[in-house]
Amino acid sequence: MFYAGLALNGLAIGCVAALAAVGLLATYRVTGVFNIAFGSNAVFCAYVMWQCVRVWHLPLAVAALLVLGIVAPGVGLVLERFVYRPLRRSGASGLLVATLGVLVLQLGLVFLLWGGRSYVDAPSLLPAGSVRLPGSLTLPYATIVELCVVALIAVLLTFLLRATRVGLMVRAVVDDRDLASALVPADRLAAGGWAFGSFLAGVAGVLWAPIYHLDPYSLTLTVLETMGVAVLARLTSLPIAVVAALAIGIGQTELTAVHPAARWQGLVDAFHTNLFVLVLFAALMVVPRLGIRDSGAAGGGLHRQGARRTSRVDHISRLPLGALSLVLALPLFFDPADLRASLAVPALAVVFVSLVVATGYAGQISLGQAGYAGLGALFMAKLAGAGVPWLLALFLGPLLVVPLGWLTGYPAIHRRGLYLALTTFATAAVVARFVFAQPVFVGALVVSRPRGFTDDHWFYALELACLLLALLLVRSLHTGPMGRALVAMRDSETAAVSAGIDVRRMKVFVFACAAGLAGLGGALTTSAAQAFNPTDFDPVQGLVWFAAVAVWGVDSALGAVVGAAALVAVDVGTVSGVSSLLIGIGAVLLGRFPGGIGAAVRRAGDWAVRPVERPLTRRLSPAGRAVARAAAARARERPVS
Amino acid sequence: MSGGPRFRGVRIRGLRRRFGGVTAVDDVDLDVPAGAVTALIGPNGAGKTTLFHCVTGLDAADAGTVTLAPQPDRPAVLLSGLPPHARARAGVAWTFQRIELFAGLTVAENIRVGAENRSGRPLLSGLLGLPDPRRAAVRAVTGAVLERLGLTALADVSAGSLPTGTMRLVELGRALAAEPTALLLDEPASGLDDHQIVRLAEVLRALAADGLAILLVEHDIRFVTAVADRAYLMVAGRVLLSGTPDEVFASDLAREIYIGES
Ligand SMILES: Nc1ncnc2c1ncn2[C@@H]1O[C@H](COP(=O)(O)OP(=O)(O)O)[C@@H](O)[C@H]1O
Ligand SMILES: [Mg+2]
Repeated sequence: MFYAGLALNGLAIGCVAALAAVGLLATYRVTGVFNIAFGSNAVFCAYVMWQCVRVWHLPLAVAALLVLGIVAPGVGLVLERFVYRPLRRSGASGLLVATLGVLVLQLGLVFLLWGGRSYVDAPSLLPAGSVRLPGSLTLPYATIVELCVVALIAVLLTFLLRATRVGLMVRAVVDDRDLASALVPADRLAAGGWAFGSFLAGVAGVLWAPIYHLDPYSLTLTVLETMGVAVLARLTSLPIAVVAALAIGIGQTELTAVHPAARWQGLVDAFHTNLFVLVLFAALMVVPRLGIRDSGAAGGGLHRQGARRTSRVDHISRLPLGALSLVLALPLFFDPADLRASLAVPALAVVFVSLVVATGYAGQISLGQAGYAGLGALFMAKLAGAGVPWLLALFLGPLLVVPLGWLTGYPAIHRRGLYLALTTFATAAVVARFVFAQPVFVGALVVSRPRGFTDDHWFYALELACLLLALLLVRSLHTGPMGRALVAMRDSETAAVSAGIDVRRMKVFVFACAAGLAGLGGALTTSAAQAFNPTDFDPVQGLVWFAAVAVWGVDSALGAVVGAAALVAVDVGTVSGVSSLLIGIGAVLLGRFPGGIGAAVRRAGDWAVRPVERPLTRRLSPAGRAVARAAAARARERPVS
Repeated sequence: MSGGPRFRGVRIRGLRRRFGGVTAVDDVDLDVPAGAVTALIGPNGAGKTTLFHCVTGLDAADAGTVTLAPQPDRPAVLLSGLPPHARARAGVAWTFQRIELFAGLTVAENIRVGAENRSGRPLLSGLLGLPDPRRAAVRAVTGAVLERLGLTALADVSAGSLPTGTMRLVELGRALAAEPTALLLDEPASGLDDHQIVRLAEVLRALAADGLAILLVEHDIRFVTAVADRAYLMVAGRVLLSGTPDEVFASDLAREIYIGES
């Protein structure tokens, strides 16, 4: 009976998860886009709902009608028209960045409009009370309603897609929009799909908010973690998704009944509160392939097309480097408060540079750098706590992250595009939930700077030295043989292999390097603040970072440094949310300006010093002409049928 | 076995590859001797590309062996089981039926990548920016290959912006830059204009004369006749005929297959 009661409780959790997972899947089925922004969309709708009921005091029914009937579908329509329709030819990676952009943009809006505050009084649409079952068990009405909603959506959608003309047309549009647009009103169908997907996100958000806190980061993450269910269903099967979600929900509550020896209790608790993250991670490791057409190109839309300079160092790129060094040295003359704020810049810049290495140079989309950054900080603090001199710990800590990057780089060997993005994100989420959120690991950390570096001037100078070191290391990954090999790998893995490049080892190596750099950035971040804030290394924060780096030019290390400075400056100079909003807008527009700001600057530079066109010569040597004649003659002799 | 103990080149024995119910390559024996151009012809779907991939390692054969005998006095290298990059380093170079270039690099850089990765340099020394000991050799090879293929004028052009025929030449250049012992070409003449076909034929003959073992998968009968020393006819996964190109093309089987073509 006890376990049955737990199961009923688990059913409630599973239902909510199923709702999100089914929404995510349904959006994918009717739009063809795996919508990472589903979580933020849900959160945005939940905040609007809160505003309607708690601030404007609208009746619950009216608010629900407004949010679910107008706001949510409206958001979908707007996004389809202005974001996804212009990008319909840009492949899975381009769309991935766009959805990330939308996520960051919506989070920015939530921060801007509601100050990022969390609320515990989110209005609930569901009836209170419960049904009595035999054996003193109770089943809340809410759970019953949720179950019905999930079943209704799953059945309706399956019927719609399988058995109706509209469903057939939707499938045609998802398969090949250009082809379908000749036969059906593709744009209107796509708009309908997005409105519906967005509506489902709204439903998920409005139903979730009263159960969990209404909080921009954590609620987004919670919704994102149900992606594991969608992955288990290989993004295709709605019934599998529903069953899996319910099973995980029930498993989660059943685990509360497990009481091992006291010192393992923390671990068991971590498991039962975070079963969805684990499932996401495990599913990504186990499920061989998603039922998804993923573009072969590593970072479509992220990189500018055309030849990159990998052999010659040109004079134009020295100019901004010099200017940048001057600007970065300026904070040394700022007043103490501004200098304190500037301490975040070099630290963040190192993390950004690590993103440039993984995604820009090697073409491996990595959404997990926040995890490595946090681990670097943690290892440093632990080492310093164990008596290792601080300056040594600052470098040794990040070095310890390198083997972890190596290890987590292995899954990257056979994954690309969206699948790789999800895997790296899941890694960061697991680390956040099982390490950064566990007092066992992050309690009693020594992160205060030692004498000498308590003065912000000296610490800032040290940070600049670290940034310089990072840029120097990164240089050899960008120029020379290594740079060429990486571009080769990014452009065509099969061809890179044919040239003798050990692509697997190269990928793992780059992941390890990027992890180490991120770790260094994290260690600096923590030392700058003299406190280990898990929120600094939140996986959702990592998504914002990725979008920022993409906007500034994913293969531009200088762009990354400028981007970090700009992000900190905007955060300090304006209200919170503005930076995310700007980054989100930039990322959404990225499809139209491939390569981001970095590429635009480079293009301008190229234009300024454009070389005189050399004439193309195509002449045959005398021997060539002889062979031509011989071949022609032999062909004439031997007519084949 | 033909060729005797002093055979040089690529030797394929009992190669088999199945895709579900389709046996794409069915118990194939094939010798690609050094110093000659060996052509593999056959209708679409005969299994030529699959055979090719089983030699390069991009596809794993279900049975059979592929060996490379680079030097008469050295033992043969068993290629089967090695990953493709290791086969490339062992001395096998190849081009693709569907062009695979590094669009983000220039023509010269594409070729250079082929030259500088033939020996595995420790990644860490690359990261630390230590000078590459083979730098001068790489430059020399790159220059020579550009010259040989008539690409010198295009050296600094972005490879992604080239016409198809020129892309094929760049791909060939990248393969040659590794200074291979065996060269495998999958339909290298498709997309080339007459000028380039002639140039390619000339280059292949010269390479064979230099001692390279060349395996050529090709449709163009004229081209095969012009450059190949020996031809194998493959149909439905099996090698049915071999001989000089003239003999093979003159056979009833080849006539039947190539009716209406060329
Ligand atoms: N990856 C694959 N999966 C399944 N079947 C394949 C695959 N590659 C090739 N085949 C099949 O093997 C046969 C030989 O194909 P291929 O080697 O490409 O022929 P060719 O190059 O001679 O035109 C064809 O029937 C093709 O359909
Ligand atoms: Mg073929």
